Amino acid sequence: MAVEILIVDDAPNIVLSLEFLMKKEGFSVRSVGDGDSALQAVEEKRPDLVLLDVMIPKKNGYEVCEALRADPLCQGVKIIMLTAKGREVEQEKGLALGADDYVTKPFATRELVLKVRTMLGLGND
Amino acid sequence: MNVRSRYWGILGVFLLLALGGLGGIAWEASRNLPEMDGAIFAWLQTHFVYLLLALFLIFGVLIQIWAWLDGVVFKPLIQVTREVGIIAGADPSREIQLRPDHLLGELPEAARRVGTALLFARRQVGEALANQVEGLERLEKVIKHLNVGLIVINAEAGIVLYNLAAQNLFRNRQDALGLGRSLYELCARMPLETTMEFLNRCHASPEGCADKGDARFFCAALHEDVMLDCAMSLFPCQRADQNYYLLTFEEATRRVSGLRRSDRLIRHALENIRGPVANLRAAAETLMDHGDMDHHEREKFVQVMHDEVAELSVRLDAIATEADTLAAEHWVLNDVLTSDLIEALNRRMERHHGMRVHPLGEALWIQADAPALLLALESMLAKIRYHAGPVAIEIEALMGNHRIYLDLIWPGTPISARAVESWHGEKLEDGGAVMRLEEILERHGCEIWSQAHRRPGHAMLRLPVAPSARQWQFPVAEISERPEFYDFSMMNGFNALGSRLAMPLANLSYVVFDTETTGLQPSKGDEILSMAGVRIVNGRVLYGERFERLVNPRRPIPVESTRVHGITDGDVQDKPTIEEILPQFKAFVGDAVLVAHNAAFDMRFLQLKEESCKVRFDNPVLDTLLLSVYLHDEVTDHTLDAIADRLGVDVQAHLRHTAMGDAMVTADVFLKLLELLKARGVSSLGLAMQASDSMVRIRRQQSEANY
Repeated sequence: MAVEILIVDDAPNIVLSLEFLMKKEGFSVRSVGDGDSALQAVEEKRPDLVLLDVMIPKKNGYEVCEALRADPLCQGVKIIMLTAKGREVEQEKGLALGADDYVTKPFATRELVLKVRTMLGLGND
Repeated sequence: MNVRSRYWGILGVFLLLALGGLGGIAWEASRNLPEMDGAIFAWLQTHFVYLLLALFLIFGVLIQIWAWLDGVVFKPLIQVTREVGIIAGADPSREIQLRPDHLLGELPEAARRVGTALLFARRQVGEALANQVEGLERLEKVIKHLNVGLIVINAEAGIVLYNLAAQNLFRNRQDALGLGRSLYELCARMPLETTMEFLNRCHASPEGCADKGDARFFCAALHEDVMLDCAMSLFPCQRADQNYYLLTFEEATRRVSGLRRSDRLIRHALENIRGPVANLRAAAETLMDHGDMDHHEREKFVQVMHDEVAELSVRLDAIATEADTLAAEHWVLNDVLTSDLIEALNRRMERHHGMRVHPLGEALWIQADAPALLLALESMLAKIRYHAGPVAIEIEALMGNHRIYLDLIWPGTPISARAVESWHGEKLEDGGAVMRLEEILERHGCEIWSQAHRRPGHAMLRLPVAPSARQWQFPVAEISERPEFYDFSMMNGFNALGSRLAMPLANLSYVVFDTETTGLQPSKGDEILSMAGVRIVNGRVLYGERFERLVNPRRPIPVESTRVHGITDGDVQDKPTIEEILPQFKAFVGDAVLVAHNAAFDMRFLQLKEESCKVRFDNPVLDTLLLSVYLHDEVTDHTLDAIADRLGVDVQAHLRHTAMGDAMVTADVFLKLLELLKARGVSSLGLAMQASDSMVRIRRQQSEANY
């Protein structure tokens, strides 16, 4: 069964790249642009990993993260938070609210892909 | 000549006269003794011895009576005179103890009653004064704890007031910051002088100056890499040379460097980003407009875009990091102790919500805009109570990795991120000022979130804030036990040095000092081990302005001297040598009058070191031993302990024979002696030095005679 990735970001230009990269890895990819749709998308089909931007409309990334962690069915879902704010406090807040990792924009695409693969236990071949 | 000598003199004269009379009679008898009846002559011959004996007996009895009267009248009289002197000058509560069989009648009792009356009167005056002083003390407290460095100087830049914050600003120059010291020793002279002149001119000119009489300027702290942001205002008096000036100081270095850095950051950011963006734009536009280029060329453009973007990312990261540290240093943030913050929070909470939070853990220094942070905390506490109900809330300050966490802890569940995020836009109001929570958090570079607390069943709201560097600094506020910060009687300036001999003793500033040494003979290699000094200004011992140093003597300390002062080789091996300490001591002393007990001894040690230390102690010197001899010639014991006991000075036995302990006792003794000297008419420095000199001469004569 293909690995399910959910991309949550309201900037189409980054979604374009992220979708392309994830598909290239052979993952099945969906993308949404706000917090509410993200939770809806998760309910429809549970992803293996969420790339979650912090600054998104409706519910922000922290709220989505917390909602996912509150759902017993979603405990195994990996969450990587993306943010344009690079401060250490935000990183700490993300991790405190249940994210597995935290990536500051701009990031090297190769490193992001590597991070996703490692987190899913796929190795780096 | 005192009454006792006169009394014995009378007896002496009487005896001499009597002897003279007898001699005269005898001589007359031997020359022309008239013819005498043989029976009478025979009687005289047999009874001559008895007559002589009777005569001597009369003399003997007379002397005995005289001695007895001396013991019960004249000695007690002298004693009472001395004690009354002490009662009047130093210790009104003093008990006069005389031999029980004295014949002074009611005199001692009368003297005691006068003493009691004096004590009572003094107490009344004291109480009346205390009431006045209480208000002054309250003011003193305010000034002392004012956040801004405050110094008041007189027209000659002599310091008449300073506070804790000023002490903190000049923390590395403790020796030079003191009452009566010149501010020029601390700050660059030029800006101070020109500003004082400017303010005087403003005050003198009929139309005044545009600003409200205060002038702001930058000023460098001497011997320190610190720029000070100063404001000076003038307190005019009748004559310009009696004016005084109030200065406030803030350390400008941090603020100025912060502004400079943010300026540089913006400039660099622009320069750094412009280049790569230009390259990127050129490449992207070329690619767009020339879709027909061949594969090889297209590859090159794509490579350019990749490289530039990688470069941009690196630069952006660097800028972001720098901006982050700058935000934490923003100048609106002050150093605040969490315990103070919590105390203030509790006062607000009690007033507005009738509850308190319970503080946990230790107090830590944070950087905060305290009023804004209080507002934020207050609103968060209200939210927590809304979420969790009327529970007891605790607040804990925790040292985190790079931040200090303020955790608000309550029994119950964490608050959802959704709720916490929704608080951000809320407007908080305080006395007309409206701020959004978001703004306050942003100002502190802070995020808030709620999570489970490590204590089961408890949740917390966490605010990470920036720590203050003060955490790791010397706790300046605690070093002074109770520094005397001001003395307005010095407002009127100082007389020139030359006229000091004529100055009243009460108006001089003194440094009372003591040294502990390896032995008694400096000329044979004995060295100073420790020095301590304490300042007396206008009749007050300034306990906060003290000098206390251990000195490495560069020689082993003899055991017998260690037995006296308790200082061992180990205590001094890592201490500076006298060459370093003595100039510091000279700086502490300035031009004050030096006072010591048996000053000649200590001065000899100092003077032998003058050359190698490149200092000169040409200060006037007073000696408590000599002054005591001058005042109480009739007693023989003039050791420090004996004088202290006589004058009613408390001696802390465990501090005796430490330099500081002895200097303190000497200072207290000296103040009592000053009172007694004044009562004896010795009111100026010149007269006091004369009195000591005469004692030196007498003592020298005595010792020569004894030799």
